[in-house]
Amino acid sequence: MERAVWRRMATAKVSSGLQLRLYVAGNAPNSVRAVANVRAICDQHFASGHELEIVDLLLHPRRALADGILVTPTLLKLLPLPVQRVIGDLSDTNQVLLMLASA
Amino acid sequence: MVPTRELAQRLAEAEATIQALLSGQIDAVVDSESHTPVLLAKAQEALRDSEERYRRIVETTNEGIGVLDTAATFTFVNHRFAEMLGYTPAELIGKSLFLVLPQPDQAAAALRIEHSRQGVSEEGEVAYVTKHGSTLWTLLRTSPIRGADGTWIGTLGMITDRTRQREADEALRKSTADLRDERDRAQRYLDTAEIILLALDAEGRITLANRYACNLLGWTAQELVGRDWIDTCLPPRIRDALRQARHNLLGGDLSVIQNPVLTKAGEERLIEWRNTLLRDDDGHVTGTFSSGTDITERNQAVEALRTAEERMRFALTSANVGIWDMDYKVGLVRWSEILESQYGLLPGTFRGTFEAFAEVIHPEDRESVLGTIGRAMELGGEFSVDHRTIRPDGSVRWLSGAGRVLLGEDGTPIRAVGISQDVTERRTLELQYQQAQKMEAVGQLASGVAHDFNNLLTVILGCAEILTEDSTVTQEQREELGEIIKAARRAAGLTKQLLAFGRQQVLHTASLDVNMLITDMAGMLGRLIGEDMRVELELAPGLRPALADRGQLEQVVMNLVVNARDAMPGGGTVTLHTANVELENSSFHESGVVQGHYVMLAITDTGTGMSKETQQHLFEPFFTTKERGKGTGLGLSTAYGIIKQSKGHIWVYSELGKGTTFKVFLPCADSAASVPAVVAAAAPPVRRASETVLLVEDEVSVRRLSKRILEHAGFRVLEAANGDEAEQLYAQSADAIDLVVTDVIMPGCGGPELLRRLQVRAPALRVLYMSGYTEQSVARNEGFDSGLPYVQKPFTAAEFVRRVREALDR
Repeated sequence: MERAVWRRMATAKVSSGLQLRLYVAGNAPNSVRAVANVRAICDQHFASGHELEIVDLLLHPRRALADGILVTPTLLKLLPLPVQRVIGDLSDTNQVLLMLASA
Repeated sequence: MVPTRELAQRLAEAEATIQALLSGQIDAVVDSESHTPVLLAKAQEALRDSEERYRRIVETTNEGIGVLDTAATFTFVNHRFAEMLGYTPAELIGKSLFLVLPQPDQAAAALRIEHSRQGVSEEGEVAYVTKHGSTLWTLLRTSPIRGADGTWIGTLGMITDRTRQREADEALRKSTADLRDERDRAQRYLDTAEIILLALDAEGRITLANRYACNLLGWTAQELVGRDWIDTCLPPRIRDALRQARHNLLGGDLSVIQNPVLTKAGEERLIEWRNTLLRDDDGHVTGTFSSGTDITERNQAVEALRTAEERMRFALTSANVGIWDMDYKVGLVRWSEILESQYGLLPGTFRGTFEAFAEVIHPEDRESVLGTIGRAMELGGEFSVDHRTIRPDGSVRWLSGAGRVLLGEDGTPIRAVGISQDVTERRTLELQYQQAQKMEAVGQLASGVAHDFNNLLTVILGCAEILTEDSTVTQEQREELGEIIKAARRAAGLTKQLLAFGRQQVLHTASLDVNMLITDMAGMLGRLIGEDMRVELELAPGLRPALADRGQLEQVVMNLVVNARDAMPGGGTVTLHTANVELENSSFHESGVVQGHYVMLAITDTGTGMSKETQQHLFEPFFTTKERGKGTGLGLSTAYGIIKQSKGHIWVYSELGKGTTFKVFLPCADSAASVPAVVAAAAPPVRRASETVLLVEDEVSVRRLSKRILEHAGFRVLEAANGDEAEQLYAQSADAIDLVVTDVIMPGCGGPELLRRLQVRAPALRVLYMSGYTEQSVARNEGFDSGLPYVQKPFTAAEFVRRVREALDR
């Protein structure tokens, strides 16, 4: 499975244009973990080029509505299109990478 | 139509959301009705029991303790924890940990919580933000909290305030850095300093040499450090001395020293050193630190300056030039030591004011000197003054000064500088020279008068003598004639003395009886020296004849006796002593003494004597100790010149208060050929003459007298009034004429010219000259051969006849 993911990633033009937005709920445990996980993933795999915006639902509820967020943590892949989302603490790295690699 | 792919995705997302909810991975859900987030916090309640259990313990510790739930929210903090962060416990409980963390550190905190979840305890330094915004540095220990079932329910954190320790650490770090900076700065200073900086240990090994020192010495610092300074960098010849100096330095002698150093290339540079001692904390000397300045060039410049100053001082000293310098602003005059000595002051005793200068000017010259300087002060520029000063010892000196006044912009004098010379000797010489010139003029005048006067005396004497032989003259008349002759002879003596002024004499040496000469002079000398002095003669019997010019020797004796007279103002005795002596090369005080027999004439007085200095200058022309007008300063120098010209010697022995002896040494007339002329003159032949004489004389009275004398003696006389007449007469009766007696100086053809003309016909013709001038001056002026017979006017009848006879018998 991972080999297939990597093969798709290798052909995807995401390395320089990855744009992510993570919705969290303050410092709630899943949110904290999601932050840590997404950062670890980005640092490990997309060190050269990515944008990661972390949006606190408690502080910016309206932005969550605009993005159609129901629960936190939710990670949105804004670019490259299509927009995709992952829910949870992002501890399943493969699931995250699969979403990021999907075009 | 909704795209199938979009639907599938939304379904997948919904499922993921439910999965997440089920697995507890959801923190909040959005209430779709109110559009507000709702937090899920079910896990917190499990913590309450343990909180109660440990409350007492944790409140008594000095550590700050906080408990976080799985969502990193404070569920408990002790008072210490809250206090350290500036809150109350109530303010913190229920708040997120991230409230008290600075933004950059929040990720690290999240990681620690994750580690706690994974069961890992950690320790590290963590910064918190207090309520007041300041930073609290802590040492943090974290450990996971698990519920009864072993599930992770939170994190326990314990903090210790490290702020103070951290400040101390920071201060330490900073001071260490400062020390390092300081050391770097010091090193930079050492290296950029344009002087030698050198540290030696107690054994004299180099421990530090800055870049300048290395450049100068030609070694690298690595090469130098550890080497013995003296053996490496000093010239061998001074090493022992410098070892001693170093010993003294270590003993505390911190005086500045100068010594040459030796570069690697073998060049020497002169260094001036200032030294300090290096000590350890106990005060023991551990080495030396020295700074050295390269003064090679400075020293050369100083040396050059010193040499120039010395040369200048030497020039000024040897020229005896004094210097003065007046500063008008402070009113002070500086005098050099030479200038002080010119005024007879001891070095450093001149008071340094203009008034003090005015005081030492001779009162008679003061007004004109101050007037001259005053005008120079008004106008600026140069001035020169000649004036006298009376020295403290009473002597009067002549000084000649020149100066220059410098004016400021407002026209007032700022400074004046000048020089001064003692011109006393020069002025004295000038006066003496004037005196000598006057004497010369008087001498020439006297010679001219004497010439005519001698002609008159010749007539008077001649006529008187002829009358005395007249048988008709009575005895009474004869005595009166004797008085006339005596008076005329005294007058002749006077003219002879007048003629002695004409001094440029040609020596006419002959064998001479010095005893007789002195005997002849004794009467005259007695009159010369006056009534309160006596002349004593100690003449050696059997004295050898000397080779000298009679007239000149008379002059010498007279000069020496006059000198003796002047040395005895209170009266005394002059002794003239003669002796035969033999001189050897080494027997005299001067070089050039020819070994042999000499006639010595010593003239001794009982007078004041002379100092050594006076004796040194005794024979110098114009040297005199007599007052102006009393002497020419030429007497002894003339005597000296005559004696030396006679190949003799003159020597003086004198001590102050014990009188003076002059000894004159004349060479002996060692050849029998030089018949003593005086002896010959003492024995005139008496016989009746029969020869014919041609008498040439322009002065009628002299010619007539001479004719009468000659005829009276038996001669036949032909008269001529001048050279031309004589030549005609001779042409008519040449064979009859045995002798021509002629005046030297006559209008037209003079005596020598006449002789030359006559000798064309008769080379063997004999002649006798007559003249009123001295033989020598005639010889000089008329090209006259002084070896020919000569009679000086005025003459007595007997002398004239004797001279004629001598000329005929040659």
